[in-house]
Amino acid sequence: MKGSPILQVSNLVVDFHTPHGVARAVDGASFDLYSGETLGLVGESGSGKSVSALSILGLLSPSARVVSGTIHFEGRDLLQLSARELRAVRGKEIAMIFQEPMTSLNPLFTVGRQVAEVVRHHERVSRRVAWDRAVEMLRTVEIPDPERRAASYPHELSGGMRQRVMIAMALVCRPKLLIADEPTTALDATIEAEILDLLSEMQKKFAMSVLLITHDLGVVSRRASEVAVLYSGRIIEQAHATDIFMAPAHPYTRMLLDSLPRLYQRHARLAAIPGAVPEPDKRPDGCRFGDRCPRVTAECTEEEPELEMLAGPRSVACRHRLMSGELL
Amino acid sequence: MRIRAWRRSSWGLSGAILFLLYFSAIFAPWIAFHAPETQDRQSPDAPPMILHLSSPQEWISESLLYVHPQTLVDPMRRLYKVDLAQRIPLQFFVHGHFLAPAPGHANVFLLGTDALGRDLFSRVLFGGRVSLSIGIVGVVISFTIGIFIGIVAGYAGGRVDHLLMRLCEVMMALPSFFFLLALAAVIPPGLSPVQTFFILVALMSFIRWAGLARVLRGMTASIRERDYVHAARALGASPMRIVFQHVLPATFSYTLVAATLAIPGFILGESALSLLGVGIQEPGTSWGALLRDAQNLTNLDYRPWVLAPGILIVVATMAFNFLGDRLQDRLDPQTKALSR
Repeated sequence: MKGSPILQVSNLVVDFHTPHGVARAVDGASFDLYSGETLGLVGESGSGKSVSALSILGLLSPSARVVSGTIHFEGRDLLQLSARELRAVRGKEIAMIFQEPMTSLNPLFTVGRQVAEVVRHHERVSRRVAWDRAVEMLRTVEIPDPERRAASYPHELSGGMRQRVMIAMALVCRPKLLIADEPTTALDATIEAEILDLLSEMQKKFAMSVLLITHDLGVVSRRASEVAVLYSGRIIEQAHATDIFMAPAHPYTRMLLDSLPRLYQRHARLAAIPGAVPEPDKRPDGCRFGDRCPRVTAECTEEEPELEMLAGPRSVACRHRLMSGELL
Repeated sequence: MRIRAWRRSSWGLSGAILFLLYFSAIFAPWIAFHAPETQDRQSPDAPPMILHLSSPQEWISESLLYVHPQTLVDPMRRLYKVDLAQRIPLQFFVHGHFLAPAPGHANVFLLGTDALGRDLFSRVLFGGRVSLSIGIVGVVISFTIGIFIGIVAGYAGGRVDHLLMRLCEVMMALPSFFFLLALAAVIPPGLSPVQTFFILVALMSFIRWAGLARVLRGMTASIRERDYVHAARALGASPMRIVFQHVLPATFSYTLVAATLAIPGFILGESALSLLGVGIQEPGTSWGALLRDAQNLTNLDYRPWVLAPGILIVVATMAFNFLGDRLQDRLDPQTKALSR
């Protein structure tokens, strides 16, 4: 049914070297992204979702090290590429957009020039040609009057417009994979919907795969075909979006969903998950969700559960998974 | 209010002064009456001749400007007698010169002469070539080094940064003037003035890059962590492109101001070295070298005009400082807000 995965992350382990010792930000994360699909990578702050995304493109800060694991993109292990080979991949085959459209554009140059600059990173074309391509791309991302807008400076554009420019920069070289790291977090709700619509449209138009990183389950539920839930540096559940939302198997996923506000339960208090994601150096023995899980047993604290492949296909890392529709 | 108006006008004033200085240095052969090394043994230590304006009816028939000739009457005490009865007319745009005395009158010395009878006015013009270009050449060399080292250190970070910054600290800890003096003293004699000039600039430039390197290192380290640089890197920009696209443009206005403010340092440095006799050697000359004549108090007392090159040093230095200040006000949004 599905082809082979375009992106396959296996057992990724990333350490941060801090003055207080080594912090394992990503601890054996594995997920697959199939061609043309959207994988939502969900998790709380500090769960390691941004770090996982940055390690795909080799953009981790110097204090971070990929300890082990592989990241296969179209058959190549990105972790084995040289700096030069990686640069050729970035922006050309895999592009990334970030959270902050307000500061992700250089205030000194026009947006047209900045989009054109990306073309010139990857192709030997004249400024003129690059500029025309940039204007064309600005038109594609539905910026009104792109010829004039291309000559604007970032401060003349609204947040939504700037995010469109960022998307134009990311897509101008027609990448096969787009990593969107919380692309709408800094925008207000109406603009958020517009940007997400634009992303889906671009995805269809350019037959891209999208890795959508967010902490917002609402965003994921509408846009992602597949969802991977990260907890404390590890994937604890991956499944089709419908399965995740209709029948979560991991207690953590269940609790996350229960903590969403619902339209028809006005007077109910929102269910919160007690405690917080453990610090990388203070993870409990055994299952890392053990100290917050209502289903925890002695067995859980002894050995960490592996990510098991189940029918669906879905994978869950829990000994006491929930049956379909079961409540906690 | 008056000070503010004066400061605003000093933008145009310092620009005009610098334009005039550089123009006259570039076109020195066209403006000067004599070659800088021409000696007139009949007129040693001559006083300046005062320019007179003719009466309007003579402007067409005679000339606009004239001087009275002067003759040496007491060679021992170098006393001159001005002959008020005669005039030497000065004509514009004749004999391939901007202004020249009428034919047959070679001994016109607008600023007087030195002990060898060399025309101070001409020597100041030619000396300005050295003094004024040393600042520009020096800033180009030292800023190239400073920008390169600062950006490499700031961008690379880690061990490279550590090493380069310690090097900067060593450079900054050197008592630079004495170091320079020692180095300049070992410039082999017998080099042409042009060679000496370049050795001098190189020496000064290699000592003065450290301050700029440190500032640029800080700016680079901060710019490389900006979101737009992260975004550029994520889209495949190479370090070179990031430096040229993001780092250099963002540091440009600072560098421009710093360059303008660094030029006087070079002018003064060269002047000081030449004044002490280790800079530009005869027959070459510079403002500092010309000031050597003003080191002797008796000389200064009898012939105060030997201070003229010193006045030009002060004027040029101040003009660059004002220009730098104004540029800074223009380019730095914070001080701009302050001065409003």
